[in-house]
Amino acid sequence: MKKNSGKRKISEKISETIMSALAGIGVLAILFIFVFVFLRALPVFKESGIGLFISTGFERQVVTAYGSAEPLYSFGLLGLITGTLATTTLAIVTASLIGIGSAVVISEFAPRPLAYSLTSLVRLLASIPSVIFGLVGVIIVVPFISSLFVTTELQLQYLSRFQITGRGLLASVIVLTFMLVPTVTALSADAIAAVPKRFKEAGYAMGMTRFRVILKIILPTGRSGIIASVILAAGRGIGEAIALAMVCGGIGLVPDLSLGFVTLLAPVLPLSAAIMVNSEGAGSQSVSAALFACAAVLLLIGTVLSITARAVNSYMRKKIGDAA
Amino acid sequence: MNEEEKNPAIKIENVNIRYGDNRVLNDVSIDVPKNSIYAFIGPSGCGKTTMIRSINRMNDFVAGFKLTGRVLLNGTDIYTDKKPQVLRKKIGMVFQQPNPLPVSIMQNMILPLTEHYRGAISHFRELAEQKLKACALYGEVKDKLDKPAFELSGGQQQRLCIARALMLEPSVILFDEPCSALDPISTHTIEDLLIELKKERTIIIVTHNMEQARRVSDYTAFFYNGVIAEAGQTNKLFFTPETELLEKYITGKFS
Ligand SMILES: Nc1ncnc2c1ncn2[C@@H]1O[C@H](COP(=O)(O)OP(=O)(O)OP(=O)(O)O)[C@@H](O)[C@H]1O
Ligand SMILES: [Mg+2]
Repeated sequence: MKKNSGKRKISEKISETIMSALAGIGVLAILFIFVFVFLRALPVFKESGIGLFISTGFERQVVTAYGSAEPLYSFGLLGLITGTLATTTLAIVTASLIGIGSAVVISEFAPRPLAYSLTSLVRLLASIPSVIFGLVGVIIVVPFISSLFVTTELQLQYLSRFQITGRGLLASVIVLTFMLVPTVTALSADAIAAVPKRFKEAGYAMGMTRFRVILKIILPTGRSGIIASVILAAGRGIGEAIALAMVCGGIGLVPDLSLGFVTLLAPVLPLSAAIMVNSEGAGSQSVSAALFACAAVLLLIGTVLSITARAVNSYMRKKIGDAA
Repeated sequence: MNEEEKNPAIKIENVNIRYGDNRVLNDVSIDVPKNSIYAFIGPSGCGKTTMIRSINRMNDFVAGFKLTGRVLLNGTDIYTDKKPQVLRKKIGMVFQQPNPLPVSIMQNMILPLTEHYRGAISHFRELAEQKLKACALYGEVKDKLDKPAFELSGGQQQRLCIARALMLEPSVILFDEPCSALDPISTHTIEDLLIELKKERTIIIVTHNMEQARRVSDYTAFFYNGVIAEAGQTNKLFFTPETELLEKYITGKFS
């Protein structure tokens, strides 16, 4: 007995050491990526300064930089940054509403066998490669948008500013929403299913209707997992390149809200799509630095997102306690 | 038959219950007089939980649940109403596992009120403090009312759940083995509380603890295999049981 526990201690120590070593390697790798990306982007940061964040014209600047003999390091990413923020924010909002709603239906309303097959289906959908979503976007969503909203008069009216083709913010948001809904649904459904039955019973016993139990007990109790699902989806959305490159229109315009609905039809160019679209030019020193600058800004946005999410969650935990 | 027994708060009339093809209760009839404590005892699996959860319609959620016969609250059949949530405001329930919600003590207490009534939170808080006092919990928690309810001990959590159930002023409260997860001291505190509560309310309690049934209840029903083998005043049942089954059960010679 004693010998056994001694042995267990040693093996526990060994596995503990291995675990922390692996965790250390992971942290180092992430640090390395950050440092590498920022070093490669450094000339652009130095040369463009604050202009990087407040000026536009990235597509033109890349073409000029590629053709120029001298390395040019002055770029403006404002259009790309707003493009990323606009597509992801809108897509996350719609995907969260649809995804959390579906998760509630699956785990609270669907009968057992149906719920089980729906969950498997959603997991399958979540693992579809994004290029397929892009393809569906090009073949179905873009033509649908243009047949529904795009008229020749509209195209002529805005010709001097941008082309209206059906590719643009709306198409990007729709495609991205399709992509993110399964992720949000699958993970939220897990979070909702993990809400202990006794909490729900507490609600019913005090005379709550099913709807009130969902609203006041299930969603708040499953909050951590639901927020995590949204964050994961947001991360996937920010980083999504292929599908967006196929439907975004490829021009880094800052969404102009004064245009009203037409804003949604205007082309955009999110950071990740910009990296992909321009990767052929990476042979040029300055284009490569520009793409690394895009990557650095993406990393920053991702970091800010995850820190805020953590802060929000821990604030809520402090305020209302945690279910565990 | 005294005055109370003529107008029972809860009247269970020829109730049969099945889950799908599984017949769980057969022809159960019980009268629970007002302001009394009625204990349901009997071996595991005999249908006590099924019976008590049918009194506030918690079994409505169970697929295959089917009840025939009648359950009356103050003379009206509870199963004719389309809205069980209205019934559950009038009949409180306390569960085997304490189930405070993952929010603060005070939020647990005022949730039933904010859910059903409009009013000033400060007023709700006052009412909550009254109920916490009634459940002999206020002194222990008055400094941490806004702390998570999970920081309380099991016994305190259970008293919190009782206090929470009182917030809607139910005329009947159902307890399904409320002390089975608690230590003897917490159990005693809750038993005293039950006796206090019955002054204004009617109580039904499921228990596996024979001492508890004897100590707190006025009436007892002995469930066996889906039927009531014996029921009546607790004193009579425990001192002069009519059936051999019950005698064996209360003396612990049951197998
Ligand atoms: N949700 C359910 N679905 C199907 N059958 C059930 C369900 N709940 C209980 N039963 C069955 O009903 C019978 C009675 O169960 P019940 O929980 O009412 O017993 P009990 O007297 O409360 O037992 P215990 O003392 O162990 O709590 C058992 O045979 C059980 O298998
Ligand atoms: Mg039971």
